[in-house]
Amino acid sequence: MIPPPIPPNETQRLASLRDLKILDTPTEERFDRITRIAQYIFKVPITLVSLIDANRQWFKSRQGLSVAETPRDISICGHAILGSGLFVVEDAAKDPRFADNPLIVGDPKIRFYAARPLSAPDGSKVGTLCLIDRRPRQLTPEEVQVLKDLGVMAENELNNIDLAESHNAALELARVKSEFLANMSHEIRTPLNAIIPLTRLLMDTKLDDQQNELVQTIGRSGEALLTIINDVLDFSKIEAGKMSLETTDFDIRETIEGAVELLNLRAQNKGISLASFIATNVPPDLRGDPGRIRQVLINFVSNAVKFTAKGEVRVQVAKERETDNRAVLRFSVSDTGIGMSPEAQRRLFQPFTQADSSTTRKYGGTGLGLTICKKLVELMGGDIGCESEAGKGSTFWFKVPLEKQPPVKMGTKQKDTSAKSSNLARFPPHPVKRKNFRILIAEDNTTNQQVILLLLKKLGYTADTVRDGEEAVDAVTRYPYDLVFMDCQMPEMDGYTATSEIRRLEAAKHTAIIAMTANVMEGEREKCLAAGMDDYLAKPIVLEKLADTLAQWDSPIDPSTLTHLREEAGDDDINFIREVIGQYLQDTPSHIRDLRKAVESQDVNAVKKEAHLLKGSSANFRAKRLQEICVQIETSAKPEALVDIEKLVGELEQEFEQVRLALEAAQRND
Amino acid sequence: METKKAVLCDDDKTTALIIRRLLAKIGFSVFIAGNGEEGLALIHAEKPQLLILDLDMPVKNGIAVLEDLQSKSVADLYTIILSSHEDQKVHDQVQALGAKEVVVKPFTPAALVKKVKGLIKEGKI
Repeated sequence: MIPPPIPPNETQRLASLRDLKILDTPTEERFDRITRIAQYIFKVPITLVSLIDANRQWFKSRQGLSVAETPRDISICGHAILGSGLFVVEDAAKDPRFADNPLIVGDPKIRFYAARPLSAPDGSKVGTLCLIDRRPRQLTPEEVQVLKDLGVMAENELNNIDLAESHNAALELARVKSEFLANMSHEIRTPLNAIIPLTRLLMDTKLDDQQNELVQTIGRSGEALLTIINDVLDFSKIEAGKMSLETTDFDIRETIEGAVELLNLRAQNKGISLASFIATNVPPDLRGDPGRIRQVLINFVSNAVKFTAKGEVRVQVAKERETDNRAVLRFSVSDTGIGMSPEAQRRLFQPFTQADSSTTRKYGGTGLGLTICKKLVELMGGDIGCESEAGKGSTFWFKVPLEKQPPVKMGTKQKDTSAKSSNLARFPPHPVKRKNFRILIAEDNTTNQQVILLLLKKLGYTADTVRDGEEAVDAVTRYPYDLVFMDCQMPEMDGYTATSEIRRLEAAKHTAIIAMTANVMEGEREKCLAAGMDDYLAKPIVLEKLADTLAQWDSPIDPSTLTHLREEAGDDDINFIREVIGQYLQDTPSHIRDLRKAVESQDVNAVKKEAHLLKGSSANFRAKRLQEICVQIETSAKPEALVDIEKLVGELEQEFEQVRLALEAAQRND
Repeated sequence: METKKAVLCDDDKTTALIIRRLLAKIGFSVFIAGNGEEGLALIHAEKPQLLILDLDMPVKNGIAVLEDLQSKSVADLYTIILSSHEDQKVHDQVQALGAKEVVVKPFTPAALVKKVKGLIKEGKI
């Protein structure tokens, strides 16, 4: 007997066999099916899918044999895997290699053996599909073909892991990955939530040159880190199929200007000119996701600025084509920078790659930006690409189809988009001291509490703080806060539960509750709104966003009162709201004049009466501060206190101006 | 169904305008008086089923209007007081004078309309 020789590539062969992860797994129908067919077609007692391990042959599938494995050195399959074609032994008793083999002399008394070797993906022969008979026989040419065919089928099964199973595993992996990323982002954003705003505040204090430079560096690094985290999150959202697009009306010019404005300073610092050109035939009023268009543009422009040492960066928008209700726009960003070779260009939009790895060392970045851009543009139904020449510069472009806004009918309300797009430049340079706007911060992390307090102080507000949901509910029921900043993840009672509880307890008054969360994954906003929160601020809290939110909620009037009135009054009298506002704006100045006269003539009763009336009529619009000033006047109106009241009347006049502006704006929009 | 009448006595014209509109919406003819005296005149002239009366008014305040009405025993007039006083004594006083309900200001117009609708349903107006 000759034991099977060891193939020359044995190490590699065994590694490939292990990679299949099939040894000692349970039997599977996909292999058994093949051995059953073989057994039937060839009318043989035994068929096997045999895999040749280091010291044994192990049967993935067997018909007519009860043992699961036999030693390799007496195996015939061990010989069969040496070649690549069919291995046939017509009569083992007459073959010197096997004549005295125990498997031939004893059970299962093999006389005929035929095998088709099975390859792993790298070509190594790891096993066979074999037929065994107890009498000598020959294969017809047809049988040779069928054995080869069945071998191919067995080999395919061997190299294909179960598809359904792998699909489920991939989904599970994606879920775990996205959960992990959400948690990580929370963990990373929490300290950033302190670093970025505190650095901003630190920059505004008195610093010497060196300190200033150090603080600037901290600030830049913090922001760079935040960008990276946002990139990774965007990418994982796209990968998980969770990225969704908004559809809002917007002005394309404002979108472009917003993006350019953001990077202008960086370009100026490098001495590069940054200019935008929008073709005159580009329709201004479009509908789509301006935020995502802006994101792609910012990515292109910041790359262009980054890779350009001198010269210019040009942003251009042109109309490709237009129908009655759609337009395809081409956005391009050209630079006079380092450019790229054709090979580098091909790799550009692949995840985690940059033009070459030395770029990463020199210029930094995750290499995810352009991949995200590509996915976003594709999500919008568009194309993306670039043209470049090494040393000359690059042009990155994308084309997206956008809906056109339907023409505005006379008299209908036009959406105000200007406020939204000019967010960047909008926080007040001289904070107005806001009296009587009571803010509660519910946040368990002391550092975060400090950060928000400092930011609020910068905007002219003060606030109270509590450390968990229960304390928040308690505080709100005891004191009429105007606005609550609610952290979502808190010990004891979380922000969602606390909000539901506050909503359950409050009667007529509606306390504005703004969620603060570092959990930026899809669906978080919906979750907050469902819990009864009014708005949502992503951590780290940015001064501009905070100022915007406050401007919206710290309004001289409560716009929801007008909405309710409109609903109650029905729509058969379209002038109703305008009439109510008109009445109030017409009466109030004369009441304030009467109030002033009453103060001058020291008529305490008349003072009380006018203040009372003003309080009542202002209550219709829930003009909180105005009402409060009235209450103060009413309660402190005494002959000896009329000087203080004069001051209060002055405040009343100022506040009425604010109310008037707000109501006039509401009137215009009605 | 005959149109129900309401007299609304309030010196704040903005509030009056809102209440008038909301009551008109549920089928009332609404007559507005800016003070107590005008209010009494309208009550006698129009014979309303509903009186909505602000307590703090010039010329003749809400209490005086109630006293006057009591002395003249106006039949089938359902009176709702609008008051910014949360003081229970004031509430007791106006109820002793024949007012059926007190709505404390500031109220939402919706709440007032809901109340009036409820009264109609119960057959009180």
